[in-house]
Amino acid sequence: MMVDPEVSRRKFQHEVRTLKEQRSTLESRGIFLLGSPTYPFVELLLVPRHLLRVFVPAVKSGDIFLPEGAMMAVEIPSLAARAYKARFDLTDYDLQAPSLEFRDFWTDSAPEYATMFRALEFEKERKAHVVLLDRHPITQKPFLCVRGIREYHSHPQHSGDEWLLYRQQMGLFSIIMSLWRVAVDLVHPQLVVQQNALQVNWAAEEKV
Amino acid sequence: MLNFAAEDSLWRFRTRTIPEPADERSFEVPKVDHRVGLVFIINGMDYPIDVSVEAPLVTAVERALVESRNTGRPPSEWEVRNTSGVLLETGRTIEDLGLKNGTRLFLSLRVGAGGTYQ
Repeated sequence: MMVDPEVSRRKFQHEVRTLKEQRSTLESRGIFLLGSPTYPFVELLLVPRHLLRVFVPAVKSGDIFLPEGAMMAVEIPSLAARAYKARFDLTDYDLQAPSLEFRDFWTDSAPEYATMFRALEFEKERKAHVVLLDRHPITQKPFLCVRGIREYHSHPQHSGDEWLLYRQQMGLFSIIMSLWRVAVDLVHPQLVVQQNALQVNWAAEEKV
Repeated sequence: MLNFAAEDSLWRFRTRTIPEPADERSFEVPKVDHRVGLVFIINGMDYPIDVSVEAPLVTAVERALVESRNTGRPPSEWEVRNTSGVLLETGRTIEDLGLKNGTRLFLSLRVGAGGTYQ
């Protein structure tokens, strides 16, 4: 513990109050504040937005025969990725950034990375890149590699990009908006049907 | 003497009735009609900003950052998105961007991300 819990608790309450005031904005983006948050945790349900796109081998398109290996994409209106829980831990906030962990909504267990959704960021120069990564060097858990998240700032590769440089401009609400962008708004789940296998992909919308 | 005074007042009358540039400007559409109120959401707080539609969006952004006391970082490090998450070019005017009175905009530091390629 680095911060007087009473100080951290008051800042936590301020952040929760802001989330409640912006509840309709959050809900319109598929983000739902769960229960009555109790220090130091804030739990949110994130509902994926984009439909599952299935790629199947195609032989013909109308009267035209397609070359071997051609695929056809179909969006399935009744299917999307699973909803999941984002659990923020505001211990030592705001000397430290909020910590974030993803959980299964039904079992409340921390899922294996291989079974999780993917979060992607798209930038003009870097293009699409994965920002939900496996095995943080400290926690050994999957983590979101995005500024404002404790696991990003505590990662040795970002030792020069301290949270203290941003904490005045970043609150929990804006961090959640970043999470929404990389984990809900940009990501499209895809299922590629191959001859003897199924492949799950996550594509990023090219939206800066 | 009397005639001179009459001529003098006539001259003054004429000078007053000659349209001056200031009067010509009154035929333009009043500027007050060219203003809109935008609501910037910064860290979950609403900051209403009244701005001319002819001004670039960055003008309103700068004012919103000052009002919210977020002056520690330059406006270039911030980005504005609409409610659909679409990034808006702050160099374009509010009129060009089609922003209406009461539009809500999200103003936040750009998402800084690490990560790897697939």
